[in-house]
Amino acid sequence: MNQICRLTPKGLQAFENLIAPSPSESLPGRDEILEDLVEILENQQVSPGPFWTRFELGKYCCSLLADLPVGIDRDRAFWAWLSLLWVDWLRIGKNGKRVAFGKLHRWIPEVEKSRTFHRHLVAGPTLIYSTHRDEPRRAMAVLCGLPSAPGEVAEQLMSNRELSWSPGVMELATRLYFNPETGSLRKGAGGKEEGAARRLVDVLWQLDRTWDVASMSSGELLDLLPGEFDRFSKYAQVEE
Amino acid sequence: MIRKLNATGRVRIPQSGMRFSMAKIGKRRMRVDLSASIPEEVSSSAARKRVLLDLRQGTAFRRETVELEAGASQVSISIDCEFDGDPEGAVGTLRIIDKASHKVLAEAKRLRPARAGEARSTSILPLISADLDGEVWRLDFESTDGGPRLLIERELGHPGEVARYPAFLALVLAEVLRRILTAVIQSGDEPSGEEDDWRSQWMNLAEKFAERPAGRIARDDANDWIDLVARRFARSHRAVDRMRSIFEIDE
Repeated sequence: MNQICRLTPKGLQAFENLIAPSPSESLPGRDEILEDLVEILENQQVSPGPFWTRFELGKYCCSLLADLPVGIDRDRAFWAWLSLLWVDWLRIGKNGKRVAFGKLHRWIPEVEKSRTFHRHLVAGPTLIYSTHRDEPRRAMAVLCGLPSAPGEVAEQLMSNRELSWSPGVMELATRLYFNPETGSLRKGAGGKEEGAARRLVDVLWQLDRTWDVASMSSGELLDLLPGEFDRFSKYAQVEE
Repeated sequence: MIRKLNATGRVRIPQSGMRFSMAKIGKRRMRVDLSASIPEEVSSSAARKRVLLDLRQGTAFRRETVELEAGASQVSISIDCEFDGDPEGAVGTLRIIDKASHKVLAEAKRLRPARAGEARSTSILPLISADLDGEVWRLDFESTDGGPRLLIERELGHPGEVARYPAFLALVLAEVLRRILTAVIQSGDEPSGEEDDWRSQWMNLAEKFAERPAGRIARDDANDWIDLVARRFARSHRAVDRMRSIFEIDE
């Protein structure tokens, strides 16, 4: 693809019709949308992909955004175009199997909604990579997975903009839950049990009533965590 | 969870007399001005302090940090910053923290900026322009602090003007009140009674129209009370008269 585009209003509608309510495997009409129902933003080569981690995807899209007009990262038609362009590999899940399309906002973002925008399969990793572009590896807890499966850890942390913005909080989550040896999350990180990311967010909000959590370092936060996080914090202590 | 502001020892920064305005100066740039008095128990403490101003609107978020001089009794922030949001609908949180321990010493939440040259709004229902894809309005509880916002289709113009349109006042506002009160009651979270707790603000408004049954109320009783509040609210805003004048119906 030699041009960066955005879908026209008709293109957005056609994309929506294509994947809802029961999309077929072959997505008939996809090529026609990409051919006829787009506006060209820039004459520039776009990688066909695939990118097999959210980290690589976010990194690539950040470089793409650098040459585009200000505000394009809040343009749902642009993100929808990218996700339609990359739809084949964006749907590949674990074991190489195709995953369901799921909710529409995974493909066409709700740019005004802070609690769903990050769920867009392309915009989500780009947003978090861009936020932590000075040291993006601190966000590996939410960027290590497949683009098709952001997972519960990403959902918990990214649905809270104040928390996902904070370098200390994001580094803390990565130190607790990301296993650098396997390049994946530790078992139980995305669960409902004690010490999982779901509880981390609850605990951080509780702590935030006394301390300004977002301005603290990961080490300072680690010292405040209660015992239920011991099974994960033992890994973080080693790294410090 | 019952939220009590003073459980942690922090104090409230008074909003009376506070100045807070935001003005767009570029596609992604904003002029932000804020001045507020610092409560004496905070200004007189020996701790080295830092001021944090968080700005939020939709998916946009920005934090500004200012060092506070020892003994200062006033916070004054005047900056040009990158903020990919709109002043309309933006919400701020102001914090003064102990620089060493990061402990929150004082806080003011749900600050709504004025547009440059205008007085700051103290409305409990921010009106936001949004792309609603066919709908005229939608109630949104997705702002970070959970307080409701009324989204109004961008194509219709300035949301403040749309909300003042007689048909909108007559047809929408009582229903908005009904939905918000239902959400407060269904949440199960008891309003804290604090000035900056959005649930308390809405319950206080509702109780101006009908006294709330004491204690924990059954669902049917709650619905009856909400209906009564909505009816009296609509009456006080002359909803039927407004519609009658729109349709020019004679008595």
